[in-house]
Amino acid sequence: MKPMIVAGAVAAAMLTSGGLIAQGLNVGCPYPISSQYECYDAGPPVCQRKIVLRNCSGPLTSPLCCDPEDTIMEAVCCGEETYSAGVAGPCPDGGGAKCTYGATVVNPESGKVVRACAGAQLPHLKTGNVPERKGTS
Amino acid sequence: MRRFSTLAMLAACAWGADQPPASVVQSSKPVTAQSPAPVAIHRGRMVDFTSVPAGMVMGPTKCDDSGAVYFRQYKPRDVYGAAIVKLDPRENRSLVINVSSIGDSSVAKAPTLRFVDFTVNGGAVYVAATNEDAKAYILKFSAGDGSFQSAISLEEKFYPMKIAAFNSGALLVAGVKTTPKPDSTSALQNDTVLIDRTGVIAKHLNAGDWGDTKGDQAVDHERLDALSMSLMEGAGTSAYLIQSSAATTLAVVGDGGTVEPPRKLRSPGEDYSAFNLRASGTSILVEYVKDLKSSGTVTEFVLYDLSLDQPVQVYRADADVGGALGCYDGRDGFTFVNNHGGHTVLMNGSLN
Repeated sequence: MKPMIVAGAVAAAMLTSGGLIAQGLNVGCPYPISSQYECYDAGPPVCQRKIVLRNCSGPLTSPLCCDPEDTIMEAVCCGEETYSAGVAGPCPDGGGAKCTYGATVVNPESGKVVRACAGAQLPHLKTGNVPERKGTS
Repeated sequence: MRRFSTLAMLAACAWGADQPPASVVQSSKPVTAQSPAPVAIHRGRMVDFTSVPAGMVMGPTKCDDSGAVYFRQYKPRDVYGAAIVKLDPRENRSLVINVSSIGDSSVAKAPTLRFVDFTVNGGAVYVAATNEDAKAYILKFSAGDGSFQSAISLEEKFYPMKIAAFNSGALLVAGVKTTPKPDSTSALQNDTVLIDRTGVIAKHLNAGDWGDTKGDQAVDHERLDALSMSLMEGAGTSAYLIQSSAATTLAVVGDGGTVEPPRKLRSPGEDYSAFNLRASGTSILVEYVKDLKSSGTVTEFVLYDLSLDQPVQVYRADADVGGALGCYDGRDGFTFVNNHGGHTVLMNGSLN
């Protein structure tokens, strides 16, 4: 079990081999952590890595997408601190288990650079490599 | 030193004395071991584009020879659905290039045509675009007024992810293609194609593995991840491809399709990732960010000379200047896309 560090905030969550357990996470967003670890298409996925959330001056604008295999993840919050570095974020294609490609995004005002998830699968290329979803809605 | 093809900076700005040429390194050791201390980039004038709301800037950004900057604002949940914005500081004019201007009925705009990558050269904006219905195109727009000019329909099962333009009008497009597997899924392979100035795919190049993290063992999502996060930029008769993973790898492709052996670039450190690239015929400027997956706040610009063995200059922007790099003039002038007062601005930076 490994504590999760939330930059500039008072958050701690624990990662286990079976899933993510959030404890008292407060990143400046009014939403409870339980609602953050959800993906569009289903419930909370299994996260096997540390997720770092930075300060969010407003509520999350979208749920997070956890990535079981540590690729591209992102957090999207509203407010000035729109992006969380590190990651976990929405998968634009509707899936949430994996973001397989993306782009760098710069917050010009803060200077933060993050990796944004652009998709979980190519639109017409079924890779057959999307991991099994373990979350439930 | 030849000018950086994608920059040429703002005419109103007077830039300082020449910097010594930089170097390209074939070592994976940190750049700090033998490179100069970072030189500060100081804030210069700012051009406000009040018609362009503030926003997050998604890579890549591009710069044309007149100093105009091209970029996309991050669009949550539809990253590649963002339009291309051009900011011309000389005329304080902005321009939007999007799908709606495409008048060619052979280009399938429905259900959703997205701009995966783009580049700028010779008064044209070239866009690698894909549609959910499995069609992929290279679209050409006028950089002057944003009007649609022409489209190249790409081969089926080829998904373009990176595009660069040569001065000759030829294009280099890196992507992936699929081949069926017995289990009814598809296997991915890197594929890089050279498209001649007439729009014909002239060659399939053996340059795709530069984006491959584990050779034949690479699984698909790693391949896509590496390719989507790589950098590609054309300058003159060459295109420069950078893969940023554990080590920064540079590949150079000529406009005739020649592929030089990949070389390792000395990065600022193991925890730095390359995320922006500007190229000329003789040197490249690579912007690195530290700890992309955890903080992503410290960036450094490293100038490499393509004929030497050491990076000769490292730049770091002052706290009051920065944003997304738009242009670099090859010497001491930088232009950044930033936000100010709820608008998008171009902010100059210089070494003086």
